[in-house]
Amino acid sequence: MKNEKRYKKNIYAILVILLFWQIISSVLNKPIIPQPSIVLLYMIKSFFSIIFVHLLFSFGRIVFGVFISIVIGITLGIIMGYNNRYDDILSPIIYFIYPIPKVALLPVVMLFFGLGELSKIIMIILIVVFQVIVAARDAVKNIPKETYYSLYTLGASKYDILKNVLFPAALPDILTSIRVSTGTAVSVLFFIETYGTEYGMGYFIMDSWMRVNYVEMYSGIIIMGILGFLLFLMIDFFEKRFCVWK
Amino acid sequence: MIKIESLTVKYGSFTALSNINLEIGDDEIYAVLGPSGCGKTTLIYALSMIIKEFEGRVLINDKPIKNSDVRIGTVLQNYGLLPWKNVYENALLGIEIKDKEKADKLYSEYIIKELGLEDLKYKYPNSLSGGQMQRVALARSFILKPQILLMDEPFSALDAITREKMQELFLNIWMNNKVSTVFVTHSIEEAICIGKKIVILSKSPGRILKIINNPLFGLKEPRLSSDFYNLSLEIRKFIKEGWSIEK
Ligand SMILES: Nc1ncnc2c1ncn2[C@@H]1O[C@H](COP(=O)(O)OP(=O)(O)OP(=O)(O)O)[C@@H](O)[C@H]1O
Ligand SMILES: [Mg+2]
Repeated sequence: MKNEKRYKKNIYAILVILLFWQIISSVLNKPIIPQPSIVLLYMIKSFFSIIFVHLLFSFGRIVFGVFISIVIGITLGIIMGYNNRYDDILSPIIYFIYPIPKVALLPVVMLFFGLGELSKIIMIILIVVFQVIVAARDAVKNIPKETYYSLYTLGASKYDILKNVLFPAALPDILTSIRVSTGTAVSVLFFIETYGTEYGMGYFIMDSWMRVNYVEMYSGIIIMGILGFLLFLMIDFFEKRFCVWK
Repeated sequence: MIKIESLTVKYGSFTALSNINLEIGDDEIYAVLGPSGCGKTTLIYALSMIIKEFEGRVLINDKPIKNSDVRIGTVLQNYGLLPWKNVYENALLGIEIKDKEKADKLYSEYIIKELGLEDLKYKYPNSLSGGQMQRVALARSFILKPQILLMDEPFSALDAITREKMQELFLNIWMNNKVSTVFVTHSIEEAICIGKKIVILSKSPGRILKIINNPLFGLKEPRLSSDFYNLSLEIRKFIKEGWSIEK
């Protein structure tokens, strides 16, 4: 029911975008903004032969970067939320780095980690990990102390508490933080794929731009949008799967 | 057996419980009656080692409590359910943590059925009523087959009829599996129906005012006995004086 409604809304939004695009390109009638039908046709025709490998690289970088961020973020966040001593030590460091626009760190990361995959993944981690840390920490801090009581009476181990209280309590907030930071990560992905690689949607778009192939460029932009959309769908899926109780 | 020796519990400088001495045998239920704020929940917390800092001693089978060694069944006042686990998972939480193996399915199914939770199995606590949550907490503590049982107003959120049914059911299960039990309530009638001994606490800071031997304990229908009325009248009278002397 609800899904169907959302589904319809999405289709509606896409139609509106296509309509505007069609109108503008018809009015301007210039190669810098080709007809949507031509772009879509090209996109479908060349998807597997040309675009797919780029999409795969971009998708892989994001997913890997986000995954590492989750692992680091959950670990640090839960430790900091559960134990004030670690929070006191680590929070100032995080508060210092957190507000720096991560794109500004790109030169530093490139200097230290080179132009290859490592620096790309590290950029994504830098964007996502702090959000996850802070979300996990705050979620753990907000658990009412009574929630632990029945586990204490059972003589629960640290692992039991982690598995039954800390982790499930933090998960919804962690997913929300990933949703927020993934948007930023995709936009930064564009930048980091313009150097040191010949694969990825960022490269694909910049390369077609240089070659003045606007049809190809626009299809790249659309695919990039679809990539973000897919990532959000994935997060939604995990939320539905693991946070039924909310 | 639970042995409580001159137990005094403080929150900072505030004394919540003062010099409690009790000895609860293996086949005894102590019903603890006391006015709101007198320290009943505090007593349950000290007995289950949720509060670890107190004066005096609490011994179980003559040894200091170690939560990992003793099976302590609790029904806490706030139910103690985990919001991210459904009714079934919450009911089995105790035994899973304690035994690290799959629970005795037959017995847990039986308890869940007896407590009328079968249709609620896959619901989450945030969609349950207070009475339903209490029943889940009860199920958890029964399924655990505890060595001692600590219950903090376990039936307070139930309507009168369900409450009587639950009292009966509780006694039935308890009779088949007798363990030292502390049963906190502020209903005089409930104390008479449940307690072998009835402990009356004073206003805050809680002290023991009186321990009554309940002659009606173990009767099938205590409410039908004429002594039921007399006893509740006696307790009521005592409480009226006892809970108003101070201040
Ligand atoms: N964490 C705490 N810090 C300070 N004071 C507390 C704390 N918990 C309880 N108290 C105080 O200790 C006293 C006893 O509290 P307790 O919860 O044991 O009462 P109770 O007898 O269970 O009351 P009720 O019947 O309302 O549940 C109360 O005056 C309460 O305000
Ligand atoms: Mg209480």
